[in-house]
Amino acid sequence: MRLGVEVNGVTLKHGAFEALHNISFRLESGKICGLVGRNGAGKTSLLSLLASFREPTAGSIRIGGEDPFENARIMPHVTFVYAEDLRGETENVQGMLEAAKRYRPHFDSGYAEELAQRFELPMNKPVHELSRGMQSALNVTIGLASRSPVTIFDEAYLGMDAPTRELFYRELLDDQARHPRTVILSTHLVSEMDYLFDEVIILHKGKLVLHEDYEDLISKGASVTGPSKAVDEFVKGMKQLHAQQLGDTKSVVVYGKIADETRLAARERQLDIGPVSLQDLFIHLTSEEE
Amino acid sequence: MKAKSNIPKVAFDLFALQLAWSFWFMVFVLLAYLVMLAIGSAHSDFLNFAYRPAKGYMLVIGISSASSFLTFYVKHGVTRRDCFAGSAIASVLHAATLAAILGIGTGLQYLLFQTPSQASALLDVRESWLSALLIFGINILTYYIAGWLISVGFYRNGWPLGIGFIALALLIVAAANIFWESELQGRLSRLLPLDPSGIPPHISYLGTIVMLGLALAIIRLCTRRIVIRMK
Repeated sequence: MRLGVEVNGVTLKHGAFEALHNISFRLESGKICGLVGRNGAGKTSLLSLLASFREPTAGSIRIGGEDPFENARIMPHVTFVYAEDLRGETENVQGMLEAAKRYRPHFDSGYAEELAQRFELPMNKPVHELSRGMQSALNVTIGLASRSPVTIFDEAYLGMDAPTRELFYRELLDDQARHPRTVILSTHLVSEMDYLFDEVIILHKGKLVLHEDYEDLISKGASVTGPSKAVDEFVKGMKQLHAQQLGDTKSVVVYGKIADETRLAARERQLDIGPVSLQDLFIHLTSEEE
Repeated sequence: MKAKSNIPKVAFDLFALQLAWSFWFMVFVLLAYLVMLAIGSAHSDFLNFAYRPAKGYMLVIGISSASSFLTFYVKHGVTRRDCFAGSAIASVLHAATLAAILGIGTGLQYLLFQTPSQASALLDVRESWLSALLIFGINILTYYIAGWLISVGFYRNGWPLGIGFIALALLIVAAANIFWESELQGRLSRLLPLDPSGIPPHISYLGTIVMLGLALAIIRLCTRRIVIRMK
């Protein structure tokens, strides 16, 4: 079962405060989308709308072509994993997996047990006695094993150590290859997770800055480095995100497609054109907005 | 794509969970009753002894469980509608089962032991088993629903609007007391221009059912499109 996601002109207000403003995008099934934004950008607000935790103030959301809110045909197929506070949860790990199995139509118990073993989750231990990282591993286990056609991870790695996060990323990629679905990964750890993304959405202050294919986006960013005057002449007319100068050497991060002839011209002027990471693009694109 | 209702699953799961809690509640009440019997302070049968603690217990589990179930179920893809309907069915089944178990225990007590027989007129099993258990069940259900209402009020509105739901729950409990001549009767009789003891049983049943229906309707209205809290 595959379900795409379509968001049209969505606005969310909390009283006078606008958490999301006129957001529109479409996600195809089978892809992993990275949702990136600074604190307070509106990432969790947007994801909570997709998970039917609340309704938008304006605009519409379609999952599999239907409004998901209170829709019994859609809601069981959308899993939202977030950094949940499980300090009061007295159920044990086994019980939590069984509960998910009862309500998630595609839940794979065998895979859940396999993941629990890999994450070294103690099946009989009450959840409130687990460390923060272990609780996150349990949430991720439920999220992956639910095999929901729309699976959302909102900073689900909180408290996990680096090897556990790496295990999560590997499992996500492997299981996505076996059971393609629409995955949305919201994260602050852009440099650590960017290789997982097929496409990227950047939110800033409740507005959609961009939604692009990951490779296309990366190919649009470039750093132009060389003698200050030559760099200034070269980047004239280009969208400049950031500039740094050290003595007579200048480096400017530009955003936009650079044609092959232009690259050749840069080489002739002894300018160096280098790639820019998603993290750098994210930092510059969102600081530029300010 | 055909939608499958989760109501039976939610109802069964919540019923089983609440019954497990009630097992421990009944064990503690029984122990307390045995101690009272041993020291000669028990003046009523087990059903009458358990009546007040059962109302308090139902109020507490109504307050503590209702809102956490809502977050849990919506997180697992269950609609608010199915969650509400399943919870309502479970609460009725749970109250009925609790009344039946305590009633059977009290029956065994009369059969096997010499039993202190002071009982309220309405909970006198020697007069009518069915009536005593129905009244017991419907009253503890009222307390559960009052707790549920408070829980939903705070979940949806937080402070200070949640306080308004406590007032509403108190009204329901007070009305139940008027209908069923309970502990408030004497005081309320003096305050109200009516004599609760004169209310015929069928009016009490009807009144309680209408009142519980209204309380459930308020809960449903408040939770129909409720924002799920991410804790």
